[in-house]
Amino acid sequence: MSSERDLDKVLAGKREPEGDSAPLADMARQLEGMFDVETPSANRERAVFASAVGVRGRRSAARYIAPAIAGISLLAAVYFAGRAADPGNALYPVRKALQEVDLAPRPTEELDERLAAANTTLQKAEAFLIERPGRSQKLAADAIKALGGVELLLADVPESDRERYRARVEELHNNALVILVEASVREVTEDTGASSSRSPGSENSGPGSESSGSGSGDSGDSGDSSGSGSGDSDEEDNSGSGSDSSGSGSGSDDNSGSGSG
Amino acid sequence: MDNAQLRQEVRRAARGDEESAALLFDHYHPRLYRYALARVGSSQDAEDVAAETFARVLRDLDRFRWRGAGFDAWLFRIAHNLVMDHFRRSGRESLDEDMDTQELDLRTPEGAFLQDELAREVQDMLSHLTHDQRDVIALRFAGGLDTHETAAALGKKVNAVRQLQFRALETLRKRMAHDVV
Repeated sequence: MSSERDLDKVLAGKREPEGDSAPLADMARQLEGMFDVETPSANRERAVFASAVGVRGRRSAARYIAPAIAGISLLAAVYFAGRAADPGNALYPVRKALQEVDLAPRPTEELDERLAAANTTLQKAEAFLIERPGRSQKLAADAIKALGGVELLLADVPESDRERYRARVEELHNNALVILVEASVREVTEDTGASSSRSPGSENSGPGSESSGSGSGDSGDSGDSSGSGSGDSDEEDNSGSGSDSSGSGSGSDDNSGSGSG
Repeated sequence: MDNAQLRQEVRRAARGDEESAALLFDHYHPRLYRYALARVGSSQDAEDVAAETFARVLRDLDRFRWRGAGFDAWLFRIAHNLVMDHFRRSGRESLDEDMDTQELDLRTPEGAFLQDELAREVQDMLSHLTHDQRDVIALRFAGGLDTHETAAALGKKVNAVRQLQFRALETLRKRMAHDVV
């Protein structure tokens, strides 16, 4: 085996040929000379190979870019959808995982944001209460819906903060109901007033005008309340409806009943 | 072309660089042709093997990884497999004697004719060797691979290749001495 290794070293130029390896090294040189033939021209094959490599490179780039874009898009979609997924949503575990690595807002941050957004919506609803009760009604309903989603997040909040958030949610929820009821009342009252003005000789003109009269009085109060704050001053006027939302609902029905009847 | 440059050119060619592809072709085509000529004994078949090797390179370059013996071994393994395919198709390699009775293709151009004649002499000589010895001799002295690359191209151990090389050279030397006498 050593002579075979020695020969290999001689052929690699790492050792001078000596002993048995010398004639074998000569034989190897002769073979190299025999094999060293002139290579036929292969210009056409060369050009074809080079251009095919170029075409292949462009194709493979396109082949890799398209799935990469699709993959990134999918990840981005999962990320953004998962980031805002509420409990119960299929992507909620994604959100929890993102929260672990600070890529999704913490429950308290999310709650703060949502409560602030609900509060802003309620402020708008209150501002529209007199001029556009229909719009106000819709905004209040949106706020109530948003608060429903917020309540689901309470489970993820640390217990030490939970009660504070729950109280704030309830407060906003009650405010939203008050605005919703009042906006409903105003809308019905306005509808009744409009219909009575269209047909002054109808039977509804009496109660309709009463409603209209009380409505204008309310609107004056509401105007005060919207100027002073979110609902403290409303408490006096709306105490009957605001203290009990179901009661306020029936009150509203009464009003609508009086309007239509 | 040193190893670092070779790596760079292979990487560029894999990304679609035509200039690098042309460089690789220039570097390897003569060696592949000589190896194939040493094995198949016909200039036309050798050209086909060399061209087909580059076609396979084009197809599989993405799959090539710098492990073990490197690009040379990978390339010549492809060529070796094509030579084996050629023998399977022609059903010739198993009959050593047929090497001596090959007929020249007289329609080939003069240059190719001379090469074929030379190749025939080589084939005559190599016909005294075993298949494995021929593989080793052709890869080592026509293809220009070292023993490690030859072992990788053939899927053999380095010591086995050294042994085959030693025995093959010994046989050829004895044969030549016998012919001279």
